[in-house]
Formats: sequence, C-alpha cells, structure tokens
Amino acid sequence: MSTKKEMVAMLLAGGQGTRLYVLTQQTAKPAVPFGGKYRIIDFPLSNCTNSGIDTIGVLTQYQPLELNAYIGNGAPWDLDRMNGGVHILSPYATASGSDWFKGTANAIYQNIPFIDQYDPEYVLILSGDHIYKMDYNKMLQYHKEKGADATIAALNVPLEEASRFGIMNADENNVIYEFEEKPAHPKSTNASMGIYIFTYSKLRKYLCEDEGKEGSSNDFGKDILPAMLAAGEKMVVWPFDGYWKDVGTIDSYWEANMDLLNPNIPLNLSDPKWKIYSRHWAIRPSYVGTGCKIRESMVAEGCTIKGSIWYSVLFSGVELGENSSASSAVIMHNVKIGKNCDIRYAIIADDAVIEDGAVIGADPETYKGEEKWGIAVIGQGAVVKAGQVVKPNEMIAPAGGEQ
Amino acid sequence: MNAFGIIFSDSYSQNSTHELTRYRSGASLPVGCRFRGIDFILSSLVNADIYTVGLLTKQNYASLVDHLDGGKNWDLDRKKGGLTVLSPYSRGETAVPTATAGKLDALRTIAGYIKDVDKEYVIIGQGNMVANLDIKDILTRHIESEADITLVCAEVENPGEHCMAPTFGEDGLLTEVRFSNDKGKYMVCLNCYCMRKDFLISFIEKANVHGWRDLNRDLVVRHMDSLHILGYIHKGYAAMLDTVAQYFKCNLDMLDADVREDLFNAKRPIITHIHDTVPTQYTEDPSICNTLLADGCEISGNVSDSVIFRKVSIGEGAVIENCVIMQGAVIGKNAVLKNVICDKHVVVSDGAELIGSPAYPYVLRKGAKV
Repeated sequence: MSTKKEMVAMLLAGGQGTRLYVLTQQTAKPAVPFGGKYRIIDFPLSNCTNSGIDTIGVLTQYQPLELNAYIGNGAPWDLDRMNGGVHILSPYATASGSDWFKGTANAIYQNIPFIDQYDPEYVLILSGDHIYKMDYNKMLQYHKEKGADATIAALNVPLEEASRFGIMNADENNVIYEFEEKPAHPKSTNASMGIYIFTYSKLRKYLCEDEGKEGSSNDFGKDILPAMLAAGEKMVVWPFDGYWKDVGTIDSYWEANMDLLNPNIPLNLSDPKWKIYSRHWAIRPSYVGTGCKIRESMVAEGCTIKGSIWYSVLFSGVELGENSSASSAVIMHNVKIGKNCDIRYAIIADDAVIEDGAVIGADPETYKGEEKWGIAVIGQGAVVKAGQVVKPNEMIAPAGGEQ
Repeated sequence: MNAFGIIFSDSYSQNSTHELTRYRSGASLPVGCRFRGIDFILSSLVNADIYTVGLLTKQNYASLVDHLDGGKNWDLDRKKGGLTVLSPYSRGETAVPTATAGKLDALRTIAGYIKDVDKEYVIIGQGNMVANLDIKDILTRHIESEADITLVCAEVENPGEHCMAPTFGEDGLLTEVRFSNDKGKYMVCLNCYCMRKDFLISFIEKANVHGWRDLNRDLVVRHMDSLHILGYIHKGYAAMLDTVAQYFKCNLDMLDADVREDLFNAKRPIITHIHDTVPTQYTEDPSICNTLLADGCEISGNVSDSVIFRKVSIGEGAVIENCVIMQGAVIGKNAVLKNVICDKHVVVSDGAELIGSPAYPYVLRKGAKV
C-alpha cells in the first residue's frame, strides 16, 4: 500500500500557554477545555478531518500527559487510520544526544523523518491555540493556484489592533513583500494567524539551513519566513474572514466562551457539515430540578442543576446546589458547587469544589473593591471553603500546586 | 471473566410489538435522553469484563446495527471475541423465523456460534430491559451455588404482560412460577439467565428433539423440579419496555434521583453510541422544572416533569408537561403537550395542543407532523 499523502498537517501543541496561568499549570494549552464539551485542540483536529486531511503529527512537549491521553488513537476525530492518522510526536533522544524542541521550526525539523514517510507535496503547519473553523483544503487550492512556496492565512484586523500581531504587507495579488512583527505603525491589517502551507521540498530545505545557523531562534515567524522572503521565494497571503479567536489569555479565553452564547457571533458548533468532534463519554443526561432559572446559557450533559444560571457555559458533570447562582461564568467538568454560592464573572477549572456559601468574583458594574477588577479563576481540583470570598481578578492555584 | 453474553434484540412474545417498536427492535428503543434499550445489558456485560457478545436479531434491526457500530463505544471491536451480530438468516439451513418462533428456536440457529466460543459460562439477556446489573456478582453467585440455571429477577412496578413471576424457597431455589398481567410491584424474571455453556448446548439439542421453543416455559417451568434453578435478586432499579405504558413510566422514573444514581452509577457506567452534539442551549426566557435533558437541544419554552432527548427544539411559550420527547423533535411556539410521547423527528406546529392521560400517553409516531 502506498503511504504517499498529498498534504501532512503538523500541529504545534507544545506551548505552555503561560498567560492562562492556573488553567495551564498542569496541562498543555491545547488540552484546555472549551465550550461545554470541547478542548481547544478539537478545533484544528476537526478542521483537518473536515478538510480531508487524515495525516497529522501533533508535537507535544509541555505537560503532555493529559493531551496524549485525550488524543489517544484519534478515533473521535475519525483519525484512527491504517495509513496516516494522528500521531503524537514528542522530543526524543538520538545517538548524538537529546534535545527539547528549541523553537517551532526546530520542532518540525526534528520530525522531518516523520513527514518524509508520507512523501507529501505540501505541509500544513497549525497551532493549538485558536478557536475557528477553516477549510484547509480551500487554502491548499489557493496555494496551488498561486504557485506559491508558502501561503499564510491572514485575518483582517482593525488597524488600531494591528500592532499586536505579526503583519504581512502584500501587493494587489496577495504576494508578500514584507513581514513586520508587532509594528508600532502598521502599514496594513493582514495579521498572520499562524497557519501556514509550505511546498514541502522548499520547507525541508529552509528547515535544514536554519538548523545549522548560529544564533537562530529556530522559529517560523522570526527565522524561516524572513529567510524564505529574503531568498525570493513566492509567499502569498490567504485572506480568511470567519470567526477566529486567540484564547491565549484569561480574558480572551473567557470571551470566546461567552461568544458561544451570543447568537450574533458566527461560530456555529452545530453545523452538521462542519462538526467539531471531541472525545467524550456516555454520561447521564442533565437534570434540572425545581425552582431553577436558566437564561442564555449552555449546559452539557451529566449536570445536576438546582440553582440558577445566567449567561454561563457549564461543562459536563457540574453540580450546582440549591440557591446558588452562576452568572457570566465558565464552569468546567465535574465542578461541585454547594448551596447558597454566588459566582459571577469567573472561570472554574475541572474538579474544583466550591463549598456552601462561597462568593466568587463580582459584576464589573457593581464592584467597589480597591484592587483592579478581573475574571476570578479557580484552578483544577482546588477547594474553595464554605463562606470563602474569592475576589475579582484573584486566582486560586490548582490542588497539588506546582508540580 | 470466563463467560460470554447472548442478547436477544426482541422479547419474542406476541404482545410485545407496540407503536414504538413497529419499525424498530425493542433493543433499539431510545430511552433516558440519550440511551437505547440495549445499552443497559450490553454495558452490564462489558462492566463485568465480558467482551464476547452475540446479538440475536429478529426483525427491523437496521437502527440497532447502526447504533452498535461494530461495538466500538463498548470496546467490543475486538480481534478475539467482541460483538457478533447473529442474524437469523445468516445460515443457509435456517428456516425463516415465524411469528410463533421462540427464543429456543433462535438459540438453535446459533448453536454453531455458541459451540465455537471458548468460554465456560453464558449470560443470556434481553435488549429491552433497563437495569444496571452487577453481572460479576451474578456469575460468582451462580458458580458458588453450583446451580444449573440462575434466573436474574427484580421487583418491578407494573411489569407488563405475561411476565414470569417466580417464587423462590429459603434455599434460593425456584419453587413456583406464574405468568402475570397484574399491576403493582412484585418480583419478575428480567429474562436474564446464567448457566454453563455445555449445559445450554445440550439443552438446545434436547429441545430440538422435543420441539420445545420457549425459554421460560420449556427450560424453566418444565424443569422446575428436575433442575436446580436459582434466583438472583437484583436490588436496584429494573424495568422492561414491553408496552407503551412501561416505556413511558421507565423514562419518567429517571426523574427520581435514586433511580438515576442506581442506573448511572460511576462504577458501572452505561455506555452508548457517542454523537458529537453541542451542549444544550437555553435562550432568554425558558422555564424548566424537574426535567432530564440531553445535549444539542434549544430550549425556549416551559418544560416540566419531562424527559427530553438530543436535538429537540422547544419554541417560546410552549408548554411541555409529563412528556417524553425523542431526538430531533421540533415543538412550535405556544404548543401544549401533556402526557405525550413524541417518537423521533416529530414536528408540532405553533399553538397545537395534544393532551394524553398519565396512564395512557398519547403517542406521536416517528416523523409525524401535527
């Protein structure tokens, strides 16, 4: 059987996601739960399978246990294949020594033998940090039509925000002539989404050259792309106009969850033509008791609701006790909330226990405290004692703390 | 465990077909928001480390095969053993089963399969039973007692028609059997049996000679005095989905926290076919009270004392009381449903009103438009 694949996807999932603080203290960022029953990595994996890409290398490094267990044999995304499928690629030792992945480009460089097995024409580079739906196959068609060596997906961002992104300046044919990393005075609004298609023969050459370069940070954005541009390779921008959200900070993560509750935001998770797949289990249905109020919320299965919920996302297995209320909150798997608790503008990670009468977070409109207002965050498995007050912007470390 | 399972997709009793099983087998009856009948016995087997299961189908089993999907979700897609769907037409010499054929006939057609399985004990169960059985315990007790057959029984409320109500002596052995249509809560056999494989094979051969066809009458009643037939009493919740009334009751029983805790306990989870549905969305002003809900619903109306399956949409101002609403139903604005069972993909238009009786619910058949 031929193992040749037209395009292989490489998903960079090794990032620590330090700006998610307690949410990523014990797990890699791509494994962070999202939207009631998903994890961040479900989005790129589902996009791949919906785009007809069946061979994916997932590069892990930081806290990989949960991520590896989650991906397993890839069956939830239909990626359990005899030929291809999803493969976890961790840093490994060779006869000449062992290396952690030094940078994004080095991570791919170390796995050239994996890509070579499939003898692909093209390689798609993805990251596990974003919530979006994208047809990578359309991007590949564009790459071929343009005869490009590298195609970079671009989001049109507002000019005032452009200086937070890597900006690509391109001509009227979308051919890039300049990269600017977080420019103070952006010339255009084409922000790189960190999604690249390379013609593999070209990518392989530049990866090998970059590896030998002294002082290189072995990074796609800083080293590979500028080197290719300098050498005159054809690099084009592929404009994308759907929903896309970087969930790299507590605020953006919380906002992206809240976006799911807003019918005007174009991220439809229930589109049968472009499902987002995830690994989940057969759990009991959710039970809503008497005297509860549920407004504009999303509730996954296995929950027992005896209190009230406003504008919140509840993952599976959450218990909310009598007279407790949660508003504008993201409450992850199997969180147990006792009676008479008041939760506002908060993120509560998996398996946390909130005992009776605890108060977590506050509404920004009514907050009178002296410290800065912000989302309150409770780490995985943490226990908030009965009657304890967790102030806005406060973070409670996960059970077990730093490992 | 040194055992395998045989599951009947139907109950093989003439009265067991009703509005909900006309086009599907009893084992594929949707129950409890996201499950199907067969999930209970199948998960009970898998939770006892039994990974060799033969499923005997009778008719209308397309939806069942689709649901089982090769046994993937139960880890029954095994190289050795695993789930085998045994169609009654699978062997050339097998006659097409007639309406009167019994479970013994069906077992005879799969004698080859039974002989080939390299396990000592067999658990025979039925796909339209709702109970979370501790099969490890059943098997251990059976082996220790050295009985010929163990009948798995439970106290069931209004168990339905022609169910076998046994009486056991102090030694736990069967002393008396009656077939009952009575209301009330009493002990009935859950059509689940445990025995040695060799015993089953020799009994099938004997039954063939005598022309015996029915498992309960010919194996149990006929041999009550000559065999050691032990009763195993399942202490938890149990129901059989033989009639519409039982089906309705079983779904609504799950509104009771104790029933849910027993059926869906974390130690022996009930496994089902996984669908990738989004969590249920609640809009601006719904009112929900004492209700079970699956994923993928959009709830804007008022729902109380009901069981709502996947992907059901309930419009603004609608009133749903004491109902079982299966997958994909669309209930229009201001519609009123009381004591109604909606089969899959029912559409109820805005303002429509349907009222059944709690004892005799109104059934909207699959795909009905009101």
